[in-house]
Amino acid sequence: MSTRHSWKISRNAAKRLLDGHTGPDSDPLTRVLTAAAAPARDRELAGEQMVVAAFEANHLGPVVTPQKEHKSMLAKLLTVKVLFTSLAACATGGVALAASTGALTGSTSPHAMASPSQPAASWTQPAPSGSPSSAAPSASASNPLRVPGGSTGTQATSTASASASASPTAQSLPQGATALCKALIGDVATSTGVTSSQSGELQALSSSRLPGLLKRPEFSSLISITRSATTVPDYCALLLDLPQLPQPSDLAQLPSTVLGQLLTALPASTLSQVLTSLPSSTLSQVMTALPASALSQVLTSLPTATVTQLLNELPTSTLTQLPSSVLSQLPQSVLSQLPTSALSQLGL
Amino acid sequence: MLAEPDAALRAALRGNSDAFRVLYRDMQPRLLRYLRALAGDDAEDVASETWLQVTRDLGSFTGDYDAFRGWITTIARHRALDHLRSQKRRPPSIPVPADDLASRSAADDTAASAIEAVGTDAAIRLIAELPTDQAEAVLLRAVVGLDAKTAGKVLGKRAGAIRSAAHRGLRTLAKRLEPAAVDDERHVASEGVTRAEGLTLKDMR
Repeated sequence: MSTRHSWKISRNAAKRLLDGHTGPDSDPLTRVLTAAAAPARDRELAGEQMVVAAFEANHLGPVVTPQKEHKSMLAKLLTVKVLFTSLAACATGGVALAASTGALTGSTSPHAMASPSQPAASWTQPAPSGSPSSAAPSASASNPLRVPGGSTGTQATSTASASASASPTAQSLPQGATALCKALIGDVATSTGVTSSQSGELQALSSSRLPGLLKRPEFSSLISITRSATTVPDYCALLLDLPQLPQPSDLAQLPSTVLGQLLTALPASTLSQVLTSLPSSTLSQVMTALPASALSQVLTSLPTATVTQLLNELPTSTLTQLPSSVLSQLPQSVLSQLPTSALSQLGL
Repeated sequence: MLAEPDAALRAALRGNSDAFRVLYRDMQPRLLRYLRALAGDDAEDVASETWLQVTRDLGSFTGDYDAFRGWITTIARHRALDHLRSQKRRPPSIPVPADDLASRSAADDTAASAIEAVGTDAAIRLIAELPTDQAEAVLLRAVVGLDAKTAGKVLGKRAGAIRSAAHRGLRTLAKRLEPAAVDDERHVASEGVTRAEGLTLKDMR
């Protein structure tokens, strides 16, 4: 195909191009089509864990014979242990370590990415699959909060405690969780007929139908993140930037790392609305539960007046529990509003 | 296309999550790039919603891998249109507004950038700037990898209509690319433009 009048493409030439039989590299159209259909980039597969977890929640179980499965599970566990031990050795941050620990205790799937016996690997797109090194980014990107579908309570707890040591500033809100929340709201809306406006979303999250719908298998990974079904509505509300919480008093029941990730990801205006509308006992619990770096980020992103208002709601006993490293960063105008008893206990 | 994808699909339908993961890795990038043209920045969300519906409804699917690709693309398109409807951004019959993508007047610049670095994002953007029917036909054929007949089913049109829309799309694209090729070589590719992978569509199959 000549570079000069390449737009005079015959019907047959067009068909060949569209079928992937591209022309010479010098042809601009070929280059555009080739780039458009290039192999997957890692970020395009960021939701993989969540989607596979949803698949497992829906489809695992009755299909496999228990005996055989037991054996292969063991083999897989060994594989994953080796893989994640080496991953953990390479990992520089606590998050990656926590993610791999979580996957070890809970998951039956991440190792599939690196397993040499992966089915039909030969026809997958070459870039992100197959090699253990490519497993690292997606595992750490989507995993700190995730426990896969069929996990038990103990597994959820161990993951939560494993990631509790991770830095909460790693803002890896799981990509698929937003979609799960929306799907949940959609299901409630369908069964109750509420609209898809912002107030409709809040209404859906407060609906009495929600707990029943949450029992469906596809939402189990959502419950794994929040550790209990009762905190899912608040979790979804924060994830979707809704300014009000369906159950404000339950907010503090969320795992502290999850809470930190949610609150630090919120725009300041929403954050203000959420925090100032909390009952003061819940506010106390939330403030003391937040990891220091998340608390510091939250307080410094809020307007001074809001911080003052929030701190004034807290009893002195709670104030003294807040890390002094965080409080000492606050502007003098905020500090001067605090009760002197609190200040003296803080040594400020 | 060999028999292997069909085998993976069958295994996934039996509940094998490794096989399902293989399907995801093949289809997700294709869907995401197609959805980028339909839903802009919300493409990731729409893709996630698509996969959730797929995991939910997979039990009701029958057919081979080509049929599966048509099925999942139809779901993706419906989710995108639902999404747009709920956003009330535009009537669903005109799914790709010029505003959501780079503006039309910037087409020449995009063409120049695309031809420089031939990044995937720039290439998709360039295709998305075509008139809607052409953009969808080109994306479904060249990126999602559907044949004209299946693409027609997704869009509710005849295979012939897809063929001519895609043909026109390629001609328009080529025309837009041509002046840039001989024009200024120093247009620097912008942010989202990633490395050219140097692999052809054939390699993806």
